[in-house]
Amino acid sequence: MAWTGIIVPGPLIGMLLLLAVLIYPSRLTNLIQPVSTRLIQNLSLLFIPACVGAFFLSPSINLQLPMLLLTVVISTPLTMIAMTLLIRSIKGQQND
Amino acid sequence: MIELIMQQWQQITASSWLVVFSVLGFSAGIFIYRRSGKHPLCHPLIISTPLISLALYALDIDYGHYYQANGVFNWLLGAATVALAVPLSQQLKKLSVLWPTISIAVLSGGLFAAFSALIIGSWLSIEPIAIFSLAAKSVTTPIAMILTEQLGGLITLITVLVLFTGIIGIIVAQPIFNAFSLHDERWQGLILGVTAHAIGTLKAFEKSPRCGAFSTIGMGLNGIWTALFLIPLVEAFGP
Repeated sequence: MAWTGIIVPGPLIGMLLLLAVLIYPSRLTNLIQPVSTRLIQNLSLLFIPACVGAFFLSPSINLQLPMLLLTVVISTPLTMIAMTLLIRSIKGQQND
Repeated sequence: MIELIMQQWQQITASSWLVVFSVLGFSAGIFIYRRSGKHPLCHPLIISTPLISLALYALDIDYGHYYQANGVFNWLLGAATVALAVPLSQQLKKLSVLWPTISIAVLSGGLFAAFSALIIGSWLSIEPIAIFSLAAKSVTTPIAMILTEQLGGLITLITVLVLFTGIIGIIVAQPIFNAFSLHDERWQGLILGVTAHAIGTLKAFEKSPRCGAFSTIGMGLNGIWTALFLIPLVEAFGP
């Protein structure tokens, strides 16, 4: 779905709409919660079909895999360190 | 509208008995995961996917055929993304004064996660299609899959990279918090949620409900935020 040049995926719009509704206290939360909790608890099942595809990648993508994993290994701790430092500097100013 | 509904209906009706493989594999994965005391390296996906691929190889079933046959699950993924709003709305109601710090942390953390992956990825001269499949790595899987599809990346690759990011995240988190003396569990939770999505959130709930609540917020808000900036960012980056 395109809106002012930014593409927002359909399910995400659905999530935002539901969020906007649920932010206001209502009985709706109690109504959906049993279903949503089940769905989220078993979320991994829904990823399986795509995840199995990792064993059926084309050889050229397979060659890239070590580099991709290396990128994750570098980028993830870097992001954590950056966020830790950022939060510490904000909290430091507030003497909290 | 009608066309859209028909399209979804076709996705569901394309499902066949091959779904059994996913369900059996998942059951085996859950069983071993619980037996291991919920060890991250025994995540149900890590256990089930090699088993299923072995079965597919052994029975000479084409992967594309198997993927199509799981149409119901792929369709449910959209519903599950919408369902993420429920825990998020419950956690969001609980905080008020911490808003400025939370928003600054999530906005910059989400941007940093995607940007650093793009920079390092192109520095290691990874092919564009693989970089497109890497950009959404810090986001929870259902959102990451949708975004990767729109970027033109491979959703088979992003699911694995998201999983790997989560595992690396929870391994390095505690040493980093200790090294930079961040002891507040609320902020530890937020960081776990932004960088390591659902796997980080599980870890955060193990520490304390409060830590888990902040992790849920971090994961949810970062999912929304990344969905907004990622596509323009990757287009501007143009690897």
